[in-house]
Amino acid sequence: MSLLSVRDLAVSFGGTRVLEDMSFDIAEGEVLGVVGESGSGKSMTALAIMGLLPMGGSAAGRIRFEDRDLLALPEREMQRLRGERLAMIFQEPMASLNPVFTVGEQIAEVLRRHRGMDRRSAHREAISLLKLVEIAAAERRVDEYPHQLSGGMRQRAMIAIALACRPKLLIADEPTTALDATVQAGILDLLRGLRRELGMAVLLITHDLGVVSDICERVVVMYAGRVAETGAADAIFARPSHPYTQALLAAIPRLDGPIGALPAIGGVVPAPADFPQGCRFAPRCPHALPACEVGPPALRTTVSGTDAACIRVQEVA
Amino acid sequence: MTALVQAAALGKTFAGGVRAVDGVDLAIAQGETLGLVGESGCGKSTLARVLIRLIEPDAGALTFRDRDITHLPDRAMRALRRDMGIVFQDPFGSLNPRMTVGQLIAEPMWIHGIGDRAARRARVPELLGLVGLLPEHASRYPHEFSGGQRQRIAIARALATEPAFLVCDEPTSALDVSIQAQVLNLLRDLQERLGLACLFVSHNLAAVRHMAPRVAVMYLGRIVEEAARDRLFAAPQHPYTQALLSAASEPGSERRTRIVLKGEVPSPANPPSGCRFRTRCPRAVSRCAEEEPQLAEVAPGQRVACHFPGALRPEELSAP
Repeated sequence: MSLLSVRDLAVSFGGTRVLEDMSFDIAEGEVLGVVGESGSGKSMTALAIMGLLPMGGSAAGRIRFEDRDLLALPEREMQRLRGERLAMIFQEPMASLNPVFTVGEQIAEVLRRHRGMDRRSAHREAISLLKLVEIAAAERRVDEYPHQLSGGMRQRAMIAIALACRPKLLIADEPTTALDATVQAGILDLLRGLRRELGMAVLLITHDLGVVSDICERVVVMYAGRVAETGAADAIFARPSHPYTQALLAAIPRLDGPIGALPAIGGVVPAPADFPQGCRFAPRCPHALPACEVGPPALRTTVSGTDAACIRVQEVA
Repeated sequence: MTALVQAAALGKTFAGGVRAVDGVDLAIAQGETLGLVGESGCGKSTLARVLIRLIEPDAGALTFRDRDITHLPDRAMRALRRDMGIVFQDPFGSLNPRMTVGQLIAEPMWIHGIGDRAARRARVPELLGLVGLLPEHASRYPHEFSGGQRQRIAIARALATEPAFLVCDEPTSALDVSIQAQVLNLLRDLQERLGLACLFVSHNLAAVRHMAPRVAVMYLGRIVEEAARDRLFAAPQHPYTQALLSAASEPGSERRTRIVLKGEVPSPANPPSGCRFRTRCPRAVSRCAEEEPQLAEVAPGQRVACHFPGALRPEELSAP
């Protein structure tokens, strides 16, 4: 049985649907990547699961976590779940940490609230959590303020806060996007290790296919508020089937291979108000037919074993 | 080959003693693109701005077309600026939202007294065409365009005075992957067609590889390695270059053995003695703390600032 099961999730703001028909599962201890460009709906997916959609946003569909339906859960229970069973980290650790409290106090807050620890044992546990996320000199760092830490250390501190209650699922929204490559590599190694050590599942939201390829077992590729392709990471990278996945992978400059004009994708990602009736990638797709504009294509299984939302997938894969 | 832009021991120290750029030597020939890579805080953006004197250097010498411009007075410098352009990372912050695209593109020509009003107006659609936009876009405002289109407008504006030297500071870092390729292709194409000399600054190694036949790597205010693209990516000699390359994640490729650097980047206000990379270098010995390595040629066209250049061995990687 899967830990998290999302079915037909849709998110709307007023009359505008920014996300629809989103379905996926995460097993215990699995790392799933949700990848897409801006406006693809990837962050809305994460926020809908956490019950943290921005003002005016509403979610429909079903989100089952363990044995609870998150969309039907009263806010009070949702609050308890967040931090205890579900945790989330964001792109900008500096914006998520409170600048006037020490790192230790911020970790201890979670421990005292959710695990009922007293001040002293929470402080002790905060130090061991900082050690768990491999912050050197944790005994000293625990009493420092966020501004005294480097970007990479701040993100580690955020992860320590998220891990305070040993959640079953960690949602990481662009956790390394604001960091340098050498620091990013360290954070990804840490997430990989933690997940092995703690058996925690990770939902990784990113625009970076390199990051996905580095750490995820399965991938959901999103485009303009819908799933374009989903499947095992190896299969998607070795043999992408959806024209969008193919084009996206081809457009990325590489560290080896030929140098020349990059096969760019023409046009731009449409805004939610202008989402096309049919396949949303059709206006930019080299394989588009008039039939593609009729309605949104359903997911169908491809030769490489992935599922792609493309009516021509048998021909173009 | 004579250099269009040349820096000799160029330096810039900010208030508080932050040595953002310290003793940089580099040359860019007419029509050549040099890539400059490094992580945040290494001084690459400062160096890019110092090269066109958007930031004043306070050490060393800077020449442009064989003329020393290190201390050129403002008035003379202004005349020279039509020969230099810059494209910034954020096309939302670099275009005045109250000007139309046509005004934005014509403004540099107006400032430099190029042509009369009619001639400038006639040149706008040409420049729009050059960057893949349409003549009717001239009457619109920046907010009506997407990020990629705005970056095209910024490029058209930078090219309006027909500069010989174009600085591109992370020009695609704020753009989506599918748009990044369009803008990189455009820049490559323009560079070739117009014979521009270009400094392409980025933290993205793969993008730099794509754009620049020669690449310099910066760490804590200094250039640590410089080589032809093929050489740099195939056989990096400086330990830092190797670490940087090993950290890059590429979709679908086998995960490389990562060189995990210890510690954090030291403060540029108080850099380590000797080699600046030594506090994080798996190969550092006592000599590295005492003597600062200078850029020296280790292979034809490959210069490295390291006392012990060469590929790191597996046993060095696993060292604590």
